[in-house]
Amino acid sequence: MRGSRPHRRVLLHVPTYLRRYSRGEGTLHVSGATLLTLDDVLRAVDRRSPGFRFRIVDERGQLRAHVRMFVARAPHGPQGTRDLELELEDQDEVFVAAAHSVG
Amino acid sequence: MSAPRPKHTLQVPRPKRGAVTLLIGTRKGAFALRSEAERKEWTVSAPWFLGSTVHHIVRDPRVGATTLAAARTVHHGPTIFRSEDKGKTWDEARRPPTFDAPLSGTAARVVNHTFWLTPGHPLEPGVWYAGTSPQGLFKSRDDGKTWKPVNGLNQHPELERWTGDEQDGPPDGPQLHSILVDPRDPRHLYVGLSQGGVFESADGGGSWGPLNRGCAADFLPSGPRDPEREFGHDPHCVTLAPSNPDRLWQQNRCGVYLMDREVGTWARVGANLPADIGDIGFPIVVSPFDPDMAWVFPMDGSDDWPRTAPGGSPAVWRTSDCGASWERQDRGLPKDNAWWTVKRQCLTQDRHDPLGLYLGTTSGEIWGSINGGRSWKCLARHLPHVYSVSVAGVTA
Repeated sequence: MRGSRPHRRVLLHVPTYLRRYSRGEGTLHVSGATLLTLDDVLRAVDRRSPGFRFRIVDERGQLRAHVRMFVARAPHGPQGTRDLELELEDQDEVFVAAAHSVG
Repeated sequence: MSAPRPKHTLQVPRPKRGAVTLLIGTRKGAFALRSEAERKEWTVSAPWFLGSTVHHIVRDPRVGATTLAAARTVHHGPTIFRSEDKGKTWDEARRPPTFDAPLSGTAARVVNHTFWLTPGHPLEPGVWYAGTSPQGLFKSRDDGKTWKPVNGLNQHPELERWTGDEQDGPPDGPQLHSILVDPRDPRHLYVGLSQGGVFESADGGGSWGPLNRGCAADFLPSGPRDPEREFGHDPHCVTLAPSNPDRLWQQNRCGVYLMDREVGTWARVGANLPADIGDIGFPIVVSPFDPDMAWVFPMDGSDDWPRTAPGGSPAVWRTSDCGASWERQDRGLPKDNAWWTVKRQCLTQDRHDPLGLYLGTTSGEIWGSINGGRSWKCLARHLPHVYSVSVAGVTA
């Protein structure tokens, strides 16, 4: 179809402290034709589980302090990023990680 | 120094009877502490939100009795949890307090945490107010589901002049606290800015003015010589006398103060506390039955501000004459080697007669008195650092 967007499927790995938004699931399959960037993935999950994105992204649209995202794209391992506009490819794996150095 | 008496009729509430439930916010979650009818035996619940910091947890005293908890994990931002069944189940605010995009020329601000929760006026069911760090005021009209900024304050053209900037703030961040709603008028509000002072609105938050004259700010260069300074102060806790909403009490960084609103200036009534105790502290509670009676918990504010009980000997101090005199109340509390203090949201009362008082400590204990402070008993131990204690309800 002319002008159609490719359908992307992304695997999001949910850290334990955010699994209240994923009904306890450690991974979420997120898919859609509008899934272009990292932020699109977060927004897609947020539509299902309101509040999820706000735990990761502040009201300036930036990743919160002490948080980094990683994208793994075969054949490479996870690469860290804070760029929410990073474009994704089909079958990418996305990770959310936080620094756990405080008591 | 004694303060002038109010000229209007007091509205003394009827005392309550029965079992008390306290809600405890801590650095690592929230708890409920429940008594039986005589308030002698207490049971602590399993934690809610274990691992999250709960700065304030409050049950709405109006119809509906929603409970809100202002929570934050260290990494994953602030939120507000809601329960409509006294904590059996919780959901999350769809839109927690967040600052609007800034006006041009000002820096964008990010809510670090919601610090204070106040239910609205009885004539406005479903209305709540929240105070945040950085300092911001927010309002919900739907029982805490969504929140909007009160930009009459958050974007006030004088705000930076009143409060300074982030560089001026304390390491934990400045907080907006002590959100007070006049029980006679839902549009009459007071707030405390820990970096700025006490401010008042008569139009529901559309416009604000400082209310700090008479209050010291001796940490500022002009402090001791400037009793008429309008802003820049550091109130720790401000409260209205429940039986006289034109009387305000304030525990400030620089002392204990009282104001009758028609007078309009603060009088330092804490100066009558013993010199070796001082009148520095965080919380203040006023009797629901007598606007002349209040309790404070002084802390060591000397030198580098250890912020522990003076000499390691904790005590509540009570005045029954507007601060003209003070009585030490420490029976049952540790006599020495108790190096803790009580934060600003950690001293409360249950409106019983005789009055029950409850305090939560930085060392994770809850202490209670069922005789107006004359004697104290430890009700719970081994909790995390306590950030707030509120009375959720009294059940006959």
